[in-house]
Amino acid sequence: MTELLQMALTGFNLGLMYALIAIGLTLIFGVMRIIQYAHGEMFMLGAFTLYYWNAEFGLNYWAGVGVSAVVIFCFGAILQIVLFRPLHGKNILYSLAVSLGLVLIISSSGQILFGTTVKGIPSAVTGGVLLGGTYLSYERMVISAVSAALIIALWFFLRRTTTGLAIRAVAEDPDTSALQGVKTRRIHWIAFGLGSAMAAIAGCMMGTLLSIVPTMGFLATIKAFMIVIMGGLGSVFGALIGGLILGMIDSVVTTTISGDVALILSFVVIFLILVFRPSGLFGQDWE
Amino acid sequence: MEQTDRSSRIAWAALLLASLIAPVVVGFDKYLIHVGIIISLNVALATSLWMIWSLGFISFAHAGFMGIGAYTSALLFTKLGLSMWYGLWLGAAMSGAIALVIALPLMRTRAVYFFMASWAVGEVIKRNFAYFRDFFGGWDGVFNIRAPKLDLGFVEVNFADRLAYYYLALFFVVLTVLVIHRINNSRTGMIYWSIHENELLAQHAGINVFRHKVIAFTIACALAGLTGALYAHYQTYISPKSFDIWKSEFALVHVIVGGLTTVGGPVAGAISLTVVDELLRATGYFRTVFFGAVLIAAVLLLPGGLETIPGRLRSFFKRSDK
Amino acid sequence: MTNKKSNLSRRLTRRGLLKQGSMAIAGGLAAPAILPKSAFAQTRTIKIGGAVPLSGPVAYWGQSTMQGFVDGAAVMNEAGGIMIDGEPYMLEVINYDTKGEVADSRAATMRLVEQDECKFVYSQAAASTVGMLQVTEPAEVLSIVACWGYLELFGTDYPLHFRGEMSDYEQGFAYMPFMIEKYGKDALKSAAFIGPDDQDGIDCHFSYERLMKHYGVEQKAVEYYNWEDTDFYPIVAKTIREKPDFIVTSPSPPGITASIIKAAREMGYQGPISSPAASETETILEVAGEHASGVILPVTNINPSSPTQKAIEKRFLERFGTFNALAGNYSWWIYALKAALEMAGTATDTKAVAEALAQVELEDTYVGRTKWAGKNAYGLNRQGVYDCFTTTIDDGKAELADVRFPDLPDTF
Repeated sequence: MTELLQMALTGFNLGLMYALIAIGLTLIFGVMRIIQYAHGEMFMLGAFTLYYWNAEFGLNYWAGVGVSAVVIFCFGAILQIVLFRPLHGKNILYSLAVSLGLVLIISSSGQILFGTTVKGIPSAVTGGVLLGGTYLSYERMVISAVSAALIIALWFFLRRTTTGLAIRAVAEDPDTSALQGVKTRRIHWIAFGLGSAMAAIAGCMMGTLLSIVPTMGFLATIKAFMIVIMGGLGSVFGALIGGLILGMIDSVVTTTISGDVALILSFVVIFLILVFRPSGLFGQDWE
Repeated sequence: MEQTDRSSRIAWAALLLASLIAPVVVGFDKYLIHVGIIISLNVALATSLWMIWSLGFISFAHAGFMGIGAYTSALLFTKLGLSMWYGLWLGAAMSGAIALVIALPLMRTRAVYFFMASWAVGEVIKRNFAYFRDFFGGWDGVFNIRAPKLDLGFVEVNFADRLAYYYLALFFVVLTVLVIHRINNSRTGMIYWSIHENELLAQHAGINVFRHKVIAFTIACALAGLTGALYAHYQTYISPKSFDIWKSEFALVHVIVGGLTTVGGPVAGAISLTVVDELLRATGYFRTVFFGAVLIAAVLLLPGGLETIPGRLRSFFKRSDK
Repeated sequence: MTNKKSNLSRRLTRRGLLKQGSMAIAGGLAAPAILPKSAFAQTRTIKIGGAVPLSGPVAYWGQSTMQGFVDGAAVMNEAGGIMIDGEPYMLEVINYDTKGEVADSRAATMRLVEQDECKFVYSQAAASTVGMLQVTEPAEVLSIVACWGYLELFGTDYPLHFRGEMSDYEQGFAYMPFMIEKYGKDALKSAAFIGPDDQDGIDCHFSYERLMKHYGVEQKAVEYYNWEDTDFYPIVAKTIREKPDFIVTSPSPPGITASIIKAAREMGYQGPISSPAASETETILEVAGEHASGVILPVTNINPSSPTQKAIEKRFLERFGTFNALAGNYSWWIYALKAALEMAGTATDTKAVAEALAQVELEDTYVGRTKWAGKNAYGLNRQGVYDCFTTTIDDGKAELADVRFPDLPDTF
């Protein structure tokens, strides 16, 4: 029983963090219809920003998370304006190639700039309680809460604010929303920055829980893509559900069977979902 | 149009001639011949990926199917002692057969989702090589996959010799490119491009889109399997890691940088980027950074890819004539 | 480790950023440029080639290996080169990146052997070694690598192939006796293994099996994680369910080891955790925080104390902007090669150099005393063995706890 609870807790925690990465990706795809392969690099850069802020210069942890989000927001927006805007409306493969190039450049220059050694960000919250064999780490609880709060905040942002509504309008129909006076170019860089900032915060959370290296972005990209495909591209809710499914598979199957089976199983699940629901669980049929 | 056709024919002939005499030009430098073989294999892989693209979608499982061909041929050799002459065709057949079976459900997905589903397929193929340790050798991989010999009666050619293998690889690359070129220029090729342009319209025009997609995918994967067998017997060692996502991605990058509309695109892309990667090897740390920069620059500064260069040059000279 | 010290070394690192950039050019682009060629126009040159991962996920190991050779060659050249048969020879180090992939490493080695005509090459990590060996042995090129697994590619059939780094197996003969002294034999009756799901993990499990059998330890859980894994709670939960007395996590890198330690301690596991590959104490302290205790890190000398060790640390900091214990561990290879070249009296006959190298014993290196062993286990003395500096982390503090030469069994 306690084992089940531990598995469920771990899976839930993982799922929320995965969802946080994936939501940024799904937002970027929804608005711009580009495959941002370098999304994991934003995750990595976010974690390193916090590392330099907190572990190197010894400044406040939570302020660092905010700084990291702002820095990566700006970085993402600049990338969008400089690299992806010229490719807007062109074949999706071109933006894919550019983002692949970004993966290579960012992760390797990360190795040159930050060094290749593994680093860790000291936790802001420590300790925990052992409840009848199930360990509740305060750190994980805080991280889950932050992730959940951000997802909810984003959901409200997309539904209640003017900019959020504009983002959704552009995702729905760019031409009509442009006719209605939405500045689509502005929406593009905002959405790109926002998606990147979400990844950066996820990077801060996961980087604290685990360790950080310049090559860690690729892992995040893989997880984010797995989730986004499951949930359906462009769907925030789908990304949340996809994240939780993946987190549970990772936790439960690894604990009960083994890690390699968990990984193969998650790919099989993705394949089956796509075969039976070709646009993911909650996705629209993008053409 | 006719003039373009003729000049492209001249370009192909020149390329073939250049690749035939290349070993002499480099003074039989063994290392450069190795680079030549790698270029050939990359060209074959990129071109077969481009064939899938001519129907309007991109497969991330390409390295996986290359792996199926490679593993089939390698295991036939190490377990049954059958030489590459069998492995090549059986590897291609196996790769095609599995592609056919997988394509049936896979083709239900569309556009970006196809792309993602194929990625899951490629990853599962790779994981299976690792998971079934006793049969595929697990992460350890397969060692001692030797190149074949060919007894022509009057002379015996041993393909363990690098120069001989270069010509062997060249032969199969030319074959692959030729097959794809012929399909592309036939009526079937026009059907493919019509599916590429507008799937729904093609369907309404009476084209069996699903069947064409499945068949084209199968042929392209069989060709990738053939390339895989060639790869295995050249490298003499394969492991699941040889066929990971990056291999598919680099093949895709070759196609994009080369150009998407003609078969010359992937050929040009694979040749130039393989050479660039080789030139960058000595830059150590900066190798990957520079490669990424070259990639982005190529996409942004040369829209349409390398295949548009002849057209650009022509219009440039025409303008200067006036 | 005190905060002051770590801050100091960090600041050096930060200041070294620019330096690292320029070093990259010096080391990677133009390692040959270290030699003022014109000045030595008359002297002969020995080329040493490195096919090492300088970029990609295993770049850390590749760069550390390369640093030893670049530094060693520069030191020897400044001293006027090495004397072989009464003639001075200069050393030239050429490095090519392999990204840590087999095929790419094979290509890099071909380029070193066929174009640059290197007679001596080095490499790092299993994938690069597998790719390298297919080229070097047929071409009669001597290779020195760090590679823990793939034992079928080692020994009698590969007489020119040396493995300079002690694998987790050799290290075991130092850290097991140390742990028995520290915790008592009764506290170490059973063990569990956690490793990555690839050939390295499987090979290290094989070493672990032999080692535990040798010391009469019962083997409990064996778990493999995926490199794609991010959280280690599930795998650790499964491992500690069987209540092993201690856990071995080879060959997990420092970051993953730290995550494993943190997860194990959070879930209430108390036993010692030994990690023969995770030589970055700072990472473990940063990641695992207050949970970092009872950690055993063999071959990790965090505290250079002898004049030789201090000199190496100083030179590396000046030359590369960084220094880590791992780079220190690899720094003796080129000195062993130098001794072998001088002993063999030839720079071209690699077989003679290999014979000489197998007999080389150095007394004063970064890792203390070194020699080549393994005749009974592999048929030839090709495995480097040296003083094992073991660092422990207890209550959030890392300190060098033990130095001993591995207590190798007669069968080794």
